[in-house]
Amino acid sequence: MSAILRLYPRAWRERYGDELLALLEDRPPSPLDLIDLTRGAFDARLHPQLPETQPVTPERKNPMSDRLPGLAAIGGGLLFLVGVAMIGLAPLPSFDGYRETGLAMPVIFLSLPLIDVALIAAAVRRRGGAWGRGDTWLAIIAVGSTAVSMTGWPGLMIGFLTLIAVTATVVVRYLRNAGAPPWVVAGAVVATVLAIAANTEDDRAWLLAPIGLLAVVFGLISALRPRPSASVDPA
Amino acid sequence: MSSPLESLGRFARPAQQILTILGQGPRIPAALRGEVRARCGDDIGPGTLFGTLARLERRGLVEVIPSPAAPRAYRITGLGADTLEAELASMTSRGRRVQGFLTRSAVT
Repeated sequence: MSAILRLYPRAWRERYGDELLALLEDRPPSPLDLIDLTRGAFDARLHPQLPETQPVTPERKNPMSDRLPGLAAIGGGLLFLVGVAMIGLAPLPSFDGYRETGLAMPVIFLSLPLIDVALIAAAVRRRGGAWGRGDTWLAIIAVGSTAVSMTGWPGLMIGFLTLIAVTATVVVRYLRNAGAPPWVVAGAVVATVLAIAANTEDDRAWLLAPIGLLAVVFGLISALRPRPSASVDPA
Repeated sequence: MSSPLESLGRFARPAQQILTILGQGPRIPAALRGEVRARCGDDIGPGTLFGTLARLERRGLVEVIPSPAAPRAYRITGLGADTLEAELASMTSRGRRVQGFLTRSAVT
C-alpha cells in the first residue's frame, strides 16, 4: 500500500497520508479501489490542491528522490557520449559515404528522453512546485517518440523529429524558468536543433560530444546541489 | 441557475454528496464513504474521496477538526453550508424545468 501512496506528491502524503491509511485499514482496498487510488495519484500530480511548502530541513536535504533528475541527466549524458563514440570510432567504409553506425543512433535516441526528463524534473524542482500537465505531457512525448523512433521507417523519422522538437522545448522551458536572457534561450534552441539534427555519421559526430558532456556536468551539479527553497509559482 | 459545484468536474457529484452528509455533522473519511454508499448508492473510491476532500478544503467549503491522531473528522464550513444550499436550489430549479418540459411534451 505504501507503494501506491508513494505515487502521490510529498505534500499530499504529508497532509492526507495518515487519513488514507486509516481509511484503508477500516476497509481493505478492492482492485477497483487500487485503480481509483492510482487515478487519484495522477490527479494529485496534475491538479495539485496543496502547495509544496515544506521547508528544507537538514535531515531531508537532498534525499534520493531529489537526486534522481541529476542521476538521469548523468545517465543520459553518458549514454549520449557512448553513442557519439560509437559513431566517431567506427571504421570508415571503403567507399565514400557514411559509417555504419549500427546501434549508435538507438543509443543516442535512448539518451535524449533521459536528458529531457531530467531537465523537466530539474525545472519543476527549481520552481519548487508539483509536476504540471505540460511537464507530464512533455515527458510522455519524449519517451513515446523514442519508442516510435525504434519502429523503423517511417516511425524513425517521425519519432526523431518529435524528439528534437521536444528536446528544444524542454531546453527553452528550463532556461526560461532559470531566468536566462532571451538571446541565450534562442541560441540554445538553434544549437540544440542543429546539433541533434545534423548529419553526424562521419567525423563530425565528435561535434556532438559537448551535448553529452553538458548533460553529465548538469547532472553532477543537480545531484550534488541541495534542493532550493520553494518559491511561489506564478502559474 | 448554474450549479456552484459544476467547476469541480468529475468531483462535483461526490462533492455534493459529501457536503450533504457533512451538513448533518462532522464525519471521519471512513464514515463519509460508508454513508455515501448507504444513502446515495455510490461507492466512492479512496482516491476520489480524498481528491474531493482536498478540493472542498482548498475552497474553504469543509475543514478538518484539529486532532492529534488520525483519522480526523471533517466538518462543513459556513461557506460550505451556503454552497450546499445554493446547490440544492440549483437542483430544485433544474428539476422544475425538466418537469415543466415533460408536462408540456405530454400535453402536445
